[in-house]
Amino acid sequence: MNAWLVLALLHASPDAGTALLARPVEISADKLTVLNLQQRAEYVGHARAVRDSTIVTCDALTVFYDEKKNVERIEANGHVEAVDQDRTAKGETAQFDNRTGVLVVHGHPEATQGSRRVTGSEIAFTTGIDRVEVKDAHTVADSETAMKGGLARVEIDADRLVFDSDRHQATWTGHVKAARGTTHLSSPVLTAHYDEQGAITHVLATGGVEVTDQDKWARGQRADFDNLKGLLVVTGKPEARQGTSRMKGTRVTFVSGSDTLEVENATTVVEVKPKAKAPRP
Amino acid sequence: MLLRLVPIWLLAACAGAPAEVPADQAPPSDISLQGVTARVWHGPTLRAQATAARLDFQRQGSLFVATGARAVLLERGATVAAPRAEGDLSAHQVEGSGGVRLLGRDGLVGTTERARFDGQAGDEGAASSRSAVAVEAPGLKLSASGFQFDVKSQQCTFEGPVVTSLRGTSP
Repeated sequence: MNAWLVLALLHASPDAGTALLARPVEISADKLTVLNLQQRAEYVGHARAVRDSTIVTCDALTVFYDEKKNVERIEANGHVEAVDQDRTAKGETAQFDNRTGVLVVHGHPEATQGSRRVTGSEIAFTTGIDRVEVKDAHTVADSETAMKGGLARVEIDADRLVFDSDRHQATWTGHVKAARGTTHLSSPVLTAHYDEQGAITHVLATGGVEVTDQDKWARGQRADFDNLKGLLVVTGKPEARQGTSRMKGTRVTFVSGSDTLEVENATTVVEVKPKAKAPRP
Repeated sequence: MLLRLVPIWLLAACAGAPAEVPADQAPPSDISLQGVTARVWHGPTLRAQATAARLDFQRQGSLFVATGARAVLLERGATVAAPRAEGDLSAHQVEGSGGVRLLGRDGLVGTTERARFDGQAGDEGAASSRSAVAVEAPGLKLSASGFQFDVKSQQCTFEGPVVTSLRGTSP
């Protein structure tokens, strides 16, 4: 969220901001109070900051600076919202540390980009490298699928999400649970790769994976999911079960939304339930 | 600060035997000074210097009018200028008009059509304006519809709509 870097520079000294202030920033509010002795400036009422295509709005914005007028940190409070084209971030409060370049949003924070949306207990943006970290993340992403020619929604919950925009990659860790249609996956680590449009193309789960899809079940060390084709491949001593059949092999393939379950080099065990004996008359 | 000091100096400079004037008549200006310069010292330290092209003062009362007024606040490195300044010495109040201009350190320039200083407001006085305010400094512009400044707390509140814009300077 480069917008927050922009805010941080409002009261920066000209020397400190030389390299970063190539483009103008405009901040407006109902009232501005500069408290020199406390080294802070408070924008109150309909605070709005604009740089290029980025617009940040909130109820109040406080800038804290040092003796040389260099910004140390910025706090935004009340209905905080940042919009940059199709990207948005919302929350009740936000703190920006100008030394680290990290913006932390609290209060039911939510970030969206296109069809992707993530919520959590805390969202941290690192400016400059477009890195986003979310605690207790709930992610929703709609992406096109070649299988049915329509949209497929992927929902992922995890203790932590790190989104690296430059690498088009997102990594969820800790109690990861992902769902796409009838397919449910759990693993310690899940990594998704995005295309230029932000759609998930490929998902990789590692560290011990368990997958269910209606009456199908599979477990292995690793799962590779092609979101465009709806194919999920489990490897690493995979096991699978469908109905009463249990299978082991080198590779288990699910086709999302269908009854197909492929197992390579399969060893199959079919459970046969003994018929109950009819009571003698 | 100097806006308060200037009337004090003027009071001292113009002190003399009171004239007999009818109580029901507002006395006209009875002292007119040209090319006025005042220096304010605090012990051996020169704190401020004020000048005015012309100063009209009532010997009996405490009202005054200065034209071409200018005050240099040496400790703050700032200068305040106004085409016209009028005030009341006893009330420690002065109002600049006709385009009040503040020149601060680092190239800061503040302008407003009219501004007032009240030496009895707050602990050490306060300045304010209900006219449009514009502040410019290297890389910074600010506009507001008025301001209030408390001398002791150094707190300045700009009334809205307040717009600040920041533009980078060339390396």
